[in-house]
Amino acid sequence: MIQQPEFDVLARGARKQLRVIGALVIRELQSRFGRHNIGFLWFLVEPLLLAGGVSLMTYTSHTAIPEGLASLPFHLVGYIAYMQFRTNANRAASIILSNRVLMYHHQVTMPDIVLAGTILELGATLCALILFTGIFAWFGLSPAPERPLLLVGGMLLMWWYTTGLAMIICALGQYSETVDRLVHPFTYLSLPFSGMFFRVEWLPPELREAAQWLPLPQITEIVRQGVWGDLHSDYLHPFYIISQAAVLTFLGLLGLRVARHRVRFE
Amino acid sequence: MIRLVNVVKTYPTPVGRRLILDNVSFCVERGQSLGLMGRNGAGKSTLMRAISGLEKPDAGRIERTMTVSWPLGFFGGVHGALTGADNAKFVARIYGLEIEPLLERVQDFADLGVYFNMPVNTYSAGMRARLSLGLSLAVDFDCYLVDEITGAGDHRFVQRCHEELMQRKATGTLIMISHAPETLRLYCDTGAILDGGKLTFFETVDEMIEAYYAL
Repeated sequence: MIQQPEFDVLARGARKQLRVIGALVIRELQSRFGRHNIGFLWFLVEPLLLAGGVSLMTYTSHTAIPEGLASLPFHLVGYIAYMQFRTNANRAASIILSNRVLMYHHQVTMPDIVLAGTILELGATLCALILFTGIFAWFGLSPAPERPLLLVGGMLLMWWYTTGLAMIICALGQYSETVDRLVHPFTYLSLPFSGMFFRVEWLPPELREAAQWLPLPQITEIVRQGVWGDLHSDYLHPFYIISQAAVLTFLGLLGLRVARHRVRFE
Repeated sequence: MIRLVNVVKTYPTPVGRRLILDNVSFCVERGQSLGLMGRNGAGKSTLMRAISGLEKPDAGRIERTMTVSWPLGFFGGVHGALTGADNAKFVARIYGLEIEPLLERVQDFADLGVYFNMPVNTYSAGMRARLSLGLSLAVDFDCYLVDEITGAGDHRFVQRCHEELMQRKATGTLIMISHAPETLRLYCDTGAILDGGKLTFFETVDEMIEAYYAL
């Protein structure tokens, strides 16, 4: 009986935050993809161009992809998984600067702004993934996602991991503009290590041991297993990735709390 | 009621930290209307941002027992990349208000015409101020923080603004920054001057204005 009011307060707080994040997602949607859907079409063009280019290189150099996988879907699925990482990390340091006017409304907080950005990215990349795998299945290049839950689960894991990372970058970004400049080359340099171009199973044994410590190739592997259901990996450690994501999120939330007083308003 | 207790706020400058609010304590009761004066750069806007909760003080605390608007100035509260209407929808969503009636109220007050559906970046300073004020009036706060935007806009808007603010003065709470003695006499009952990080209070607006010109 006594618990009731406390629960009410909690529920009301949760509803309020959902409302705020929803409004922020719509606001992000408007400025990133525009009011017309042409913006989302452009969003699809980039991964297609990149994966298409890589496939053209593998085709002209007669490099076969192991396990009989088709180059285009293999690279495209890998790249879309990486896109969440890249966009969320790249935008994190400057996202407050471009949204701080909204913090004039006291219910809009820094974690809300970061979350809205990464949720939108999750939605957009998931749509792109479903659309492309559907088209590839239509052309017989790859199966229609055979374990859809694993595909969605992998993308969710990437969202969680990169949201924690984005919060940390965002907090650090309030202390120095250098953070924003360093993040961009870092995300590009991390592309070869992301798992876009390989499966851990295909690496030489000594590299496999090291690759196990990287979360990105593992998450990419989970997403790929969602499409090609018979893929199997001995190098998946979901608990390890979840712990990393949890630690990053905790540090990120803490960092944003400390960095709040660094945000300047005109 | 809004109560500030020993609030300290500093800003970093190339020659060390500058003290903007030096142990400021005061209380604004419900129904009061307070005018604020001070030289450019004295920290009036900083004080407003602290009262609204936008900027956290370095030390001290701020208590609020009523809803307080965001600081209504030429900046903040509306996003430049969005249209006026999209900003209004955003505000409706985060405050949990119905969208259509709010859009009507804002458009009726701000009178932006076709600009309502254009990005705020394309607005003049006066139009921005009208939108910001229109939005905050539609949300219906207990206390309004007005930072020098009453003089914005044309004759018709000044008239609308006057009607709305007089009504708020009668029923709500008002804290207002202005350099214009006429405006302060019109809207405020008491006054305070911010100088050198210290706030000095005056029983009447006329006393404040006199002291301000003697600064």
